[in-house]
Amino acid sequence: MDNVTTRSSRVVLAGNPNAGKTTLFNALTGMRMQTGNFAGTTVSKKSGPCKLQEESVELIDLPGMYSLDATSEEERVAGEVLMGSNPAYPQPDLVLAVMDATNLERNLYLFSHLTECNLPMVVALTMVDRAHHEGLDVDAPTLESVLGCRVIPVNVEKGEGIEEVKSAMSDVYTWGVAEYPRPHKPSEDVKCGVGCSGCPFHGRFTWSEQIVSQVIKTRHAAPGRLTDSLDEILTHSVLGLMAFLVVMFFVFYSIFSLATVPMDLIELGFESLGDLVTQWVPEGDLQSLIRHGIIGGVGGVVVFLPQICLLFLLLALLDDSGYLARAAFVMDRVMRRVGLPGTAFVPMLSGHACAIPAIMATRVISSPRDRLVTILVLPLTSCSARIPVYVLMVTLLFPNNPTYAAAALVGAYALGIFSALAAAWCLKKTILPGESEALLLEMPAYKLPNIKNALMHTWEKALIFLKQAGTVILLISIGLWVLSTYPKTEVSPEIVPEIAEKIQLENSMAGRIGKAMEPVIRPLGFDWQIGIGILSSFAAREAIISGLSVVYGIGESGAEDSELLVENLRQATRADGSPVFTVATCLSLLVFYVLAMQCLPTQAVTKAETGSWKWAGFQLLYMSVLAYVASLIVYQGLQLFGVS
Amino acid sequence: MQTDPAIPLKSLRLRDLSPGSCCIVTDMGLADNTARLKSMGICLGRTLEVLKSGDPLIVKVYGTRIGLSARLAEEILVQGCQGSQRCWEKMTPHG
Repeated sequence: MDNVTTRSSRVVLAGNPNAGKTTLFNALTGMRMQTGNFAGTTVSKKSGPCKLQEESVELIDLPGMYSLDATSEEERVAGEVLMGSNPAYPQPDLVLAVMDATNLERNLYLFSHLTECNLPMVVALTMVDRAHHEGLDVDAPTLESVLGCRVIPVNVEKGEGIEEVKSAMSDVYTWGVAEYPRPHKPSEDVKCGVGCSGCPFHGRFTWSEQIVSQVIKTRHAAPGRLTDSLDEILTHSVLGLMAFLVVMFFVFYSIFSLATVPMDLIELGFESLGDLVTQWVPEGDLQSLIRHGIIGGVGGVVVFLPQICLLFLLLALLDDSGYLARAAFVMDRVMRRVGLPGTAFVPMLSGHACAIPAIMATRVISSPRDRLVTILVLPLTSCSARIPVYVLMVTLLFPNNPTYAAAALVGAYALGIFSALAAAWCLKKTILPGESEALLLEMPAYKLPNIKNALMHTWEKALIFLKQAGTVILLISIGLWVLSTYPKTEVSPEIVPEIAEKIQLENSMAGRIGKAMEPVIRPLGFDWQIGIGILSSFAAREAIISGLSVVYGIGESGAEDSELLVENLRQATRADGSPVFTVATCLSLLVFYVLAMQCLPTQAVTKAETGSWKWAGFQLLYMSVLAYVASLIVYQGLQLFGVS
Repeated sequence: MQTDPAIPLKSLRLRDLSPGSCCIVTDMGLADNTARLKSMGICLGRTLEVLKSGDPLIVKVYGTRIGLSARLAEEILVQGCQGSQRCWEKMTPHG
């Protein structure tokens, strides 16, 4: 990694959003890219090596931008990198500007800003085919002489222009970066032209329009009819919302149906890994640490990777097709009422798979206030790790009535969404006042999505998630293992292993904390065994299931036999002989799991993305209070009406 | 410059235009986010076409569609430009 960051030859890739930057980046760098953040920011950075004729350069993909006016953190960072004013990033040698031929005026506007960096530039002209289809033919040689830099039409799908772009970049190095001619800058009076009234935008756009009138050869009525007629439906205030629900239904349906096979395989893989450890590592604490602490803990989270990957793949495809912008457009009306912007819907949606990548996805939200609100309420949406718990509770509640069971499951999801929106509204009325930022969103023309780009994007997201699992989640799993393993209790060897396991857990630190918690959770209908389960949920919520199977004496392995577990839980009794899992307790526990913040990995991400533990702490606090109060109302209310 | 007498040249609010109208921006007002609006091409003197009215609405500027809140469109004053040479959608081929 070091040899990349210290390499002197650096090229930055700059352009408008939706101009085809990612496709060109992937074509120039192949699959060897590095992802991360620009130093000291939450702006994502992508870079990769690009082999030119003689030299190899590091290609840095700047965030998509419309200007260098620093109206967002992305533009500020991009400006710093281009000007070389950020100490972490020395000024690059060369700017590779991506320009969308269908929208040359606005792309030239950005170009006029880029010329001010005083760097050699090469322009890659994208979407030439589409422009031609719309009746716009760009005269690249004329554009080249007007701008004073190389302009190369590219078509990545057909492999056209890639080599020419590389050789144009090579030329800059052959000529010498310092001597290579710079592109023409718009003259000062053009920057503030006739009728300017001091508006620099006006002058620059007039300059762009003048250039366009010289280089666009034919111009008859632009069709774009497909996009217009699709938009009639997809942005319609009623039909658009219905279309949105249909699309979302298919997204979730495919996530939950297609992901089961790879999830089973991953589970199987981690199980056999655990068995391997049992064979090779002598029985004792080390074996238990590796098996339960490391493999079990990390495996319990990694098992959700297929769902996360599928979600991100589908979202990337929808985004590339142009649909996501329409979804944000129709959702804006709904979300704005609670103080969330339309763009918050992608993170909220992702939260139904896992809050970790979802919180990272809030980077698409430009306003800091809106982003913070979204991060704070996001963990209320029902993530995959809650599903096993929901299923267990619903099975206990309605063992013989699948219709009621399904309704209860849907209810749990609805409660999650409703409380997330309600929490956003409360934040708007209290500590984070103000309206959500007004919608301002480019709605790109519809097109067939690029599968390769979507796969690359999914791969990036998967790596981020695995990095989390490999660091934060690993540490938390080990911490929880220590809590439930120490201090050790001497158990006589005659006792069956399941009971020994139970006694051991009861006397461990986790067991003691569970017992200490009992007076607090008693009003919710929970006993100390459930307390231990809640505690073990902090690595991943589903861990309550193995926790419960241990405390109710069927051993860790009992958790895999769901019928046995349900039977045991149903028969579990308190000291006075009354059953533990009554209707009231099950419902109360279900509500608790919908609302409680029980995921330390999520908290770590909240800290990383908001920059302070303060917000992570606030999130834990308000969600815990919410869950406690809601469960209290459910349990005590049901007791009052005599349901038990 | 020929103007349709049915369209008065007085300033209208962008949010009040009906779909299909073409207009020139005469005043950006004090809407928050004006810098972002402007860099996306919604700027003094530019020609816009309203594709969808309501809240949010869609305008076309240069080659792209931009979705924006009525809250922003409220502040933007425009002049109808039907028949005007500047409306690029209706431009005659040149070159």
